[in-house]
Amino acid sequence: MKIHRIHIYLALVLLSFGFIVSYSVQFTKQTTSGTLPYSDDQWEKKQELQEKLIEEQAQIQELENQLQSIKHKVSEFEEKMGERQAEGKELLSELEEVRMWVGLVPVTGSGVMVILNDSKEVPDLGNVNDFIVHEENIRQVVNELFASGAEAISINGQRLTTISSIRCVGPTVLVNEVKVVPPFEISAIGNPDTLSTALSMPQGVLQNLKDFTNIEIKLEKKDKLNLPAYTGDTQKLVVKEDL
Amino acid sequence: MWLPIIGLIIGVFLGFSSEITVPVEYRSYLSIAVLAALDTIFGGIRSYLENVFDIKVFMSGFFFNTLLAAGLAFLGVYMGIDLYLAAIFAFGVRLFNNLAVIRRIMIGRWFNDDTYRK
Repeated sequence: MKIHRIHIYLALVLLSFGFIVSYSVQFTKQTTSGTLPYSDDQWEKKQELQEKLIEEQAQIQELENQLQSIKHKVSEFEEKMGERQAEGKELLSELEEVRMWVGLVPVTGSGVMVILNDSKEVPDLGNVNDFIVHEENIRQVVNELFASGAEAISINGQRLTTISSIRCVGPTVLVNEVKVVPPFEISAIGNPDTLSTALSMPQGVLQNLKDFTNIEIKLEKKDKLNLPAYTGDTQKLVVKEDL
Repeated sequence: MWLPIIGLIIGVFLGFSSEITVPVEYRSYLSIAVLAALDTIFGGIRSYLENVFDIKVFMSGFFFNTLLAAGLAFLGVYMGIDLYLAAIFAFGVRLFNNLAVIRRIMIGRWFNDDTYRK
């Protein structure tokens, strides 16, 4: 078969034609199926945005680092705070204990109760003073009780503190500047056996009182005594802490 | 006649398998090129039917028209005028003209009636 020149030319033209048509068809398919090719300014924009993104990411990284260090600091502080809190707790319990010792809180425990009362039968003869309870007698008992290990003492509901006084004004006795009247109930918290033994030992306080006065004396061991708190003035006017 | 058909097949195959992507701005060039190619093909068919077919005219027309259309569009982009619209319009009109002539000739031949020819 002879090949005509015209056929070669035609083939060339048709080849180009087919190429262009099929290429555009394929190209259109491509663009409509999602993978949009970018135009120049779109490229630029994309580039810009990507750069921005990278920048932002770097910033995020930096901020995260900052956050990390801050968190670290916070945990350090928290640790310290925990220590402080433990310290505070300790202080608080110490304070509570001191308050208890000083008499600013009500306390309870076992101990003894000494009741001193004026004699019922006042004789015509003899010294009247030997038949009534004096503040001196109370002081002796209290002294003895403290000396033998009493931890808290109250007289007719008046708690004794470091600033307490027991004194006599006319016919009455003042404890903590409050009038108390017989019978005087001296409650002391401590080891009941020790306290009662100390009070009633030979030539002891109670023995002396019995020997030289006619007042009524009663000594009782108690399993449970409730002592109230000191309710008087606790304002400090002059005293200062010596640091 | 088999050689041109083989050429067409190869061209179609090449076009489908090519991986080149054209940026969006140059899409209009492509459309114009397609239009120009189509116009020339139909022009060739018409001249063949009219017995005035000349391969030189046909070939030069094909490539020249395609390139000119693309160049016009290119120029239009740079001048800010949508010149490719002119090319599309011109080619579209010519395309339909050619198709009309071809139709008349074919109908005339089919019915053996010369009155359909201009």
